[in-house]
Amino acid sequence: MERKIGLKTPIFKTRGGNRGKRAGDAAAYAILVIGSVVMLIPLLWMLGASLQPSFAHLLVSPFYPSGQWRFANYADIFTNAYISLPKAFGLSVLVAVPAVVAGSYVSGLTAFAFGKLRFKFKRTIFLLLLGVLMIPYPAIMLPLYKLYANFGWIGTPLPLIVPKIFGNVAMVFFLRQYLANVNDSIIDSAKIDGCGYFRIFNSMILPLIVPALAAQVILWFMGVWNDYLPAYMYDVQTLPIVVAKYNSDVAMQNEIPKVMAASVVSLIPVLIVFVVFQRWIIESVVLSGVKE
Amino acid sequence: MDSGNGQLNKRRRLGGREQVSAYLFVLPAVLGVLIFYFVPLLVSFFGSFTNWGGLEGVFDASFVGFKNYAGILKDPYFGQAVLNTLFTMIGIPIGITLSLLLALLLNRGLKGTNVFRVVYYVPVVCGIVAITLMWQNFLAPNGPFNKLLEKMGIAGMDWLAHRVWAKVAIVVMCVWKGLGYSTLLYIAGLQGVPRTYYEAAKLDGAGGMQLFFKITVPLVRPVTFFLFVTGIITGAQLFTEAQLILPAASRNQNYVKTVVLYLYEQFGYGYVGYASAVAWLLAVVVFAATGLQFALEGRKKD
Repeated sequence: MERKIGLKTPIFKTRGGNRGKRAGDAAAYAILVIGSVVMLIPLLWMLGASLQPSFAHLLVSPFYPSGQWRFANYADIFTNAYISLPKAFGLSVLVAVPAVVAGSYVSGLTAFAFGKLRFKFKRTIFLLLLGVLMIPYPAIMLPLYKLYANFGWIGTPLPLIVPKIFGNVAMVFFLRQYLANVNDSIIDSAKIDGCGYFRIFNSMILPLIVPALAAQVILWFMGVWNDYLPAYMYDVQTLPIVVAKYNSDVAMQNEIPKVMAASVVSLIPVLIVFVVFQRWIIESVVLSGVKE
Repeated sequence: MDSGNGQLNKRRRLGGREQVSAYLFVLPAVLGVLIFYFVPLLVSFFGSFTNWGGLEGVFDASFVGFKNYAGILKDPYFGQAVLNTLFTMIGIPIGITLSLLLALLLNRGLKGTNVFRVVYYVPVVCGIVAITLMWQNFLAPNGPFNKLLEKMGIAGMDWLAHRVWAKVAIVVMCVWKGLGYSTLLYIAGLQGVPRTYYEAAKLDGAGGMQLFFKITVPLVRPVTFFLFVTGIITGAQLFTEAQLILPAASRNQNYVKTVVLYLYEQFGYGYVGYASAVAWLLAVVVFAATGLQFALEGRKKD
């Protein structure tokens, strides 16, 4: 354990030399594997529990489905009267895809203005936007409830869609930094050709920032997909809301396998997105988290 | 006008069309933050000094001065909610320590590091509702956790019905869920540490422990600080985990009620002015944490 420090190719041999390094590596592997098991066991248990034929089976064999695996649990929850899963799924997609894509495009446009265009009060306006990042959601959700109630939006998906279309400040901040690496000369030459700024953005900037933008879209999508408090507050029946409600509605009926199946369904889209884009996701999380 | 524009003016006059386009492009974001952030923030500030019931407009409510704030500070349930919220924050140092150790293991250049990184990150992307419901059933009296303990000869119990263990369960869940994220940031931080530092220290005869405490810990301090402050900011707003961890039959027990749950409850009773005051007490804590972050980051750059 004395060599915890990450030297990929040690130049100086430490006490114990190569044998020490190998023993250290073996210990590191052992800890990492045990840790991975701890990380995955609850999730695998959830998957297993979702396939249990009944609650009684779950009690007898709590760790994995005994005998027949009941995939019909998944069919059940999609037709069940207690939970309108197809509708909630559709609503979650509506809130997490078109709204996020539209809001990301607007964020890109905003970032372009802050990163590449010159205008009065640029710094002041930018600081105003950044101020949003320190406002805790509970401090604004009560007046927002009142606002949406006045519009007649409570119970509709609009409170989760409309604010996103105005853009995402964290994304503007990130994309503006990304744009700093884009050479101004492209924009200048386009200007000489008489292109409008909107066209410059669409035809030249957007293609350049697509990798960064796409990663941000994915991160935002995953956050929105999992979001609970705003949906709960404004009574929007998205997936997390109906799954939580299903859990309390059937609490007395020992339907845990089906509750777990509904939970798994709510996780599948983000897990697929994560598995497909994991490299991008991990890179942009690091970039967005540690801002130097 | 800010100083940056003066220099720009010298280089080239601000183009009229450029300015107009720029204002149009930033307009949605500016409107968005005003309508959906700053105005609501001011409304809740104003509302916190009134007996606003939520059905009427905030300006129709009557002014009550600091009555709401005084009431909150006198309410033992609020005190309990604050203590519960603070209790769950013991997960912050635990998570920070574990993730730094994990990052050191993942920064050895071992084969398969990327696989481990992905595995540890899976809980981070999972939705908190599904995770909390899973955890609730995992810890149920006849659930798998107690079965596991039974096999090891330890008597289990109804963890979530216990006022302390229920909070410990939330802490464990939050640490488990957030570990992959903080580990990722630490790995990035460690990769920025110049290798020569360690080599020089080792030539001077420094041991592993010394290298860790004298070089690694100070050099990843920015990451630690970032995790600590963001941990306080999100920890102060803990809601979903505390609301859903208990089985439906025993929901809303005071022993897991956090500040935001308390706030939501008051809102539900129609005490919107009072709830706004709770929200503002919370906001002040969050502003202080963010201010501290900015101040220390600013000092670092000087």
